[in-house]
Amino acid sequence: MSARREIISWPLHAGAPAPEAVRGGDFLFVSGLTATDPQSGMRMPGTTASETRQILTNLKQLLERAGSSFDKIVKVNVLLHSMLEAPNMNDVYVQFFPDPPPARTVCGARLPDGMKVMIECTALA
Amino acid sequence: MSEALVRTAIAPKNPLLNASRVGNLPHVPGIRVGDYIFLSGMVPVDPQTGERSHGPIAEQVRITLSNMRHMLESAGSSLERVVRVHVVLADIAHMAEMDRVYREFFPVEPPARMVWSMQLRFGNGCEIECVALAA
Amino acid sequence: MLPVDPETGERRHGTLTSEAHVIFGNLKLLLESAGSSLDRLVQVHALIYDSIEYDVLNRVYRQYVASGPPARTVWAVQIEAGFKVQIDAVAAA
Repeated sequence: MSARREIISWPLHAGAPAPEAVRGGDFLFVSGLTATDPQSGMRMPGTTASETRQILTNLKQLLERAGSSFDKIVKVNVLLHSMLEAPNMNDVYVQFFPDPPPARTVCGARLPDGMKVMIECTALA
Repeated sequence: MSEALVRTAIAPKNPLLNASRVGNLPHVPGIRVGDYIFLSGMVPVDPQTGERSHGPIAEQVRITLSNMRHMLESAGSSLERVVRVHVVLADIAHMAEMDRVYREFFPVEPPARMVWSMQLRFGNGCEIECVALAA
Repeated sequence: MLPVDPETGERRHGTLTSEAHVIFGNLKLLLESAGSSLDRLVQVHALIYDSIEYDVLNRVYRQYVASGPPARTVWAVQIEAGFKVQIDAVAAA
């Protein structure tokens, strides 16, 4: 029997090329999230800290809607526009994740639309 | 008591797309384990010749995703079963062009996705990897 | 996984080669203590600070995944704490 696959939620802006999350089998695969206003879907560029906070706040809502939670996250990938900003991201990150936190990889790369932070994760559905 | 999951390597029916074998590299094109298939990153390779294919970014994305379709189908899966995609671009300015082609391959209920830009080897304009549900 | 000393947690900066050996040593220990092994790796993201070191990475990498290597994508990105290499992995339990 093949594992179930379903879209969990769509971002607000019309014609987006990817949903926020997809459930496949036992896991929830969350797309790379950048800082957006949850009401309008508009991008909210700011500092590394403010973008991290916005992303993780939105992630919390998304996980709850999907019947999951921060406790069920198994793996996080954080992309930063510059690794010099890692401590600023971390200061906010630790406020959201339980102890012990999930597995994580952080690296520096060029992000779309000049955003400073992008976070994706995989969680138990 | 749960049994240990069996893990097996997958390979494309078209051997020219088996970059690991062709390049004698320490990876396989993909691994199937439990309900999932994890693919190695794929770059634009002409499926007729096995040569790198560098043209406009739209063409590179088209070739890469079409090869990805072949890889998944060789393993008994499909693009519709993909749950997560990572798209890497050498130049972040190519995002809109990439997107235009990407939608053709995932027109309905697309997978979760993350797109970013980093240094790519051999002048490749894109590299794409994914996780899919097995058959 | 980053190149840190498994006993002291000290950072072991070095060449890409030396850092990769530390990482794989740690990865082996970690997987085996969880009842898994390097043979059960499913997917790896090999982060390197510059794609020019691709062949150097491969020379070390091969030594640890000789039989039945996993799926892999190499990411040339900025890595934490100025390390030259990092290995991100999913393994079957």
